[in-house]
Amino acid sequence: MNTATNLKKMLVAVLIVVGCWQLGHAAYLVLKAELAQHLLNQAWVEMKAGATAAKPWSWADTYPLVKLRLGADGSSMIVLAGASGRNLAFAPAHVSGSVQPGGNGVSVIGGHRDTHFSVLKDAQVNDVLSIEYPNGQHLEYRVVNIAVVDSRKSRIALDSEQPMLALVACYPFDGVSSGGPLRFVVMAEEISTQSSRIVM
Amino acid sequence: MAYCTQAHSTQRYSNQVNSSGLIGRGSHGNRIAVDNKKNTNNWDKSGRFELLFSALLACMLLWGSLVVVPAAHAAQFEREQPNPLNSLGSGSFIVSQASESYRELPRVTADFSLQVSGMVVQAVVTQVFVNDSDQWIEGTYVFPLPSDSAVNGMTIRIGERIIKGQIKEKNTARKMFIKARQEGKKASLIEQQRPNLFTNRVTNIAPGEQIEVELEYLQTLRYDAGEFSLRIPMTITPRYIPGNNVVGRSSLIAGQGWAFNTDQVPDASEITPPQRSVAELEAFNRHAHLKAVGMKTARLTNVATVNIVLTPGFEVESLQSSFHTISFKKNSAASSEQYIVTTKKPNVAMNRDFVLRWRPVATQAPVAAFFNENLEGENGDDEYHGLLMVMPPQQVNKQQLPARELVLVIDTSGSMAGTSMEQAKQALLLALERLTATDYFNVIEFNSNTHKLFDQSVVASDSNITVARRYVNGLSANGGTEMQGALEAALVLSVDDDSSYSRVRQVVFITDGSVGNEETLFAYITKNVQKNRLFTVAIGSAPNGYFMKKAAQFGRGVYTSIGNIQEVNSAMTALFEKIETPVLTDVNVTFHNGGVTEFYPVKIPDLYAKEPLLLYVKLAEPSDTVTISGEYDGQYWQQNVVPNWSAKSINQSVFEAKGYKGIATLWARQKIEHLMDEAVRQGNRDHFRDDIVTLGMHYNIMSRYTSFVAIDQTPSRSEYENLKRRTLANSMPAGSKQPIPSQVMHSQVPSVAYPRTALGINGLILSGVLSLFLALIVLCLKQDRHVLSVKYAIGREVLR
Repeated sequence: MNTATNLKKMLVAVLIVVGCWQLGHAAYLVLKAELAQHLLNQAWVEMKAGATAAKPWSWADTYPLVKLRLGADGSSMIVLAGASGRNLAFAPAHVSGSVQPGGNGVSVIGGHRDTHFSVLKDAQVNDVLSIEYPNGQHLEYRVVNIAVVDSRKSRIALDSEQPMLALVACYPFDGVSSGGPLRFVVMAEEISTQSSRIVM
Repeated sequence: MAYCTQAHSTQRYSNQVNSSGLIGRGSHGNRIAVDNKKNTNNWDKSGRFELLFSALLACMLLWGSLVVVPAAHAAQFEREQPNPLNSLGSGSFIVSQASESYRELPRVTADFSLQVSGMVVQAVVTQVFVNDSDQWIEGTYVFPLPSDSAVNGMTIRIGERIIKGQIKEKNTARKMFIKARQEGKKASLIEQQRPNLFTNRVTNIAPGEQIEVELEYLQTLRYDAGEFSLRIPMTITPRYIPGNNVVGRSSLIAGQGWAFNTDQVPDASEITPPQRSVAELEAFNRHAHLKAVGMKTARLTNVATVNIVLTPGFEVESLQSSFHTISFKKNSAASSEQYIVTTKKPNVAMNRDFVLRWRPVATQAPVAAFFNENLEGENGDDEYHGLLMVMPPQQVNKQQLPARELVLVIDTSGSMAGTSMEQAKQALLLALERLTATDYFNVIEFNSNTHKLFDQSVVASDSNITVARRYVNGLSANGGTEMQGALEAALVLSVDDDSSYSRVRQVVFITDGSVGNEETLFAYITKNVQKNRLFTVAIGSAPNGYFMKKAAQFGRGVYTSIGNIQEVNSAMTALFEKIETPVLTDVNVTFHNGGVTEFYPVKIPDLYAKEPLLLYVKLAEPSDTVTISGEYDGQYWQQNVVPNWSAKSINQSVFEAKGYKGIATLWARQKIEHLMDEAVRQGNRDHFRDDIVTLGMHYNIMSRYTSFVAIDQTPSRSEYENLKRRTLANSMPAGSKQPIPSQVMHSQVPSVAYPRTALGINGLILSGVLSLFLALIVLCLKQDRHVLSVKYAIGREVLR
């Protein structure tokens, strides 16, 4: 009887602790993603002022690569160099094996579906995205395709005759667990250079 | 890292769902009991159970909907997209991963039979290729050998027939091989891609046929810190290929690797064979074992047998293998001490290097050794070849170390993922512990990019070391291996600072060396090493030994290797003892009454503590005395050695043997290595091509420009039968968590894998809410359990 009560008490305590921990961890992840963007913005300002590869925080092993603007409200986010799990927790990140944004070929940027890249789910074909380098170089892209793919069965080909951008997030957006095989891919091609060519 | 945590929480989450299910059933049973008793008192309580139960059910449904529905949704999404990405005008963006059918691949097994005597290894490797398919096949097998091996013999065996291979200039050998292939003759061509990486092509293997290719090589043992060791590499770690793709693979002998040739690695497609995971191969071989009647009939692949006859020349104190369980017995029939060593299991998976180490009893540790072989020269005169080993005396006077700067570089590229990364981190943490308060240090991490922890080296204060330790603990392996950036960060001083210039700069480079552009890196090191010293630490089950050894040599340092976590401590301690002890510099060798001498290495490198001097010499006539001198810790040091060229005698300090087969071959191999090093220094890869071809042909050894080819004279495949070309897969190294590089051959385009892009926040929130909700339910249950126990008591009363 007594032991049963104690067991129940313990069970309740454990459940509450676990519950709070899980919620706390979720909150921590969201906060980390938000705070990182704030710090990254500061590093970005430094880089615009001329610093090369400014570190957003003292122990960082990455640096802001470009600024990505997408969505109807033009929300912008800093993209880090190197899409390691650690970097992705802070910001969307450029897959280092892919082409640098603006170069001929496909440049791949990954972002977490549940933080930074949650906005991707509203992406539409013909949406316009933009990429900005710290040196002021500005590139505009138009979304040409959106697809869901199985990451176990395919890879992203990198060759293209013009600069392309692939934004990748896990799919489904409201999925519960991480590590699923599906990916949401937004493909965009560069338009700014073309238009400038026409103007000239 | 974040990904890992997520995986755990998902696990926990499903456990909770299970336990909630149990509680649900429990309360249900309870309710029935109450109804049967028609206890009106409890009526409203049972109503609450119903409520709780349905709430639980709702929870589970919610969970189910979150997990199941999206999958269906995804399927629907794919249906709704009539234009998948690959129908885009500018080309296909999604590349299907090649799922090679392994039934079509020939199987390969290897047998390593080694004779070790004194300082020299004579090895015979037999590669057995079996074609289980119903097609005619040409198999290409890319395989490793020790980086200093001199391959000097090749034979193929087809059933009863034995065909001796010949050494030929590389292009001649290729032409012979292609002709044989077209004529339907069985043939084998062995080419050297790197000093430690070779390709064996076996063509026209009939369906169901078995062809054996036997290779012979010679090698000098490593004698370091009082221990002899030999290493048999078994597989390769996928090499990272930097540079831009070069289109076009038109050659009739094109590589079929997963990588494209690039401007920095022109032969990338030849050094990147497909690889199979350790688990997949284990499953394959387990299945083969089950189906086999006896051991011999088991259709195994990527397994090796190892047999070593060891004649150390001294009494052995310890004999062990680093990564395999071995069994050995003393051969009492032999005149001197001899051991027969095999692996305990007859077949070992070829997924990690085999390393054998032995140590003499302290009193018999050789301080000098001399082996010679006399060959008849071209014009009738004798040529005297010798291998001389001298151990400089060790003065262990611990003294004040000069101010130093220790730069610790760690490879965090994708190929390090898994046990390699743990070993590397552990090694780095140990190195940090070694720092004293006056040292300066920095930590550099590199994969596709290089990142310095501190902009400039900082003093090793407690707080700085704490920062470094935290940094190291947080490292994870991912991305490419752009090593030149890391070397630049480590070797080239960004700021010209007087105080830093006076310090001794030591770079400890921790990596698996799995890159394809070794020579570019060597050239960079030799140009930029200046006063620095570069020490390489080889990590993992199958490190690139060639890179490790030569990078350290060009960097005027030494190398060490770590193959598992238990070795970290001893290997790093030994390395630091070397780093922290004075070095024997300006080493000079003089041969008395010798005539014309030619010895290698030409410029003798600085010798670190407990490191012997190894000298490969060729003389016109035997010399009686050799004087070796140098400067040790500011003092002049000299030693005379009297090698005996005629009699065979073994004494305490110098053990020697006349007519020692293979010494001339080893000398020629050293000369080739010297020429290749010079080519690197001069920045002209093929500068000594002709000299190397001449050496290779004369001494019958393989090199970058000389290959072995063996051709069966009778054609076996008729022109009506097709020949399929297949590249055999190597095993991934044991413990590696690197994704297996995929063959994108079919689509002919470079590609990248998708990043992992979910934190699982929804899952966390859901499991958090569920946990709290369950807590609430359990709280509500509290009183009812009391009711249950009372009822139980009543029930017992009734039964009585």
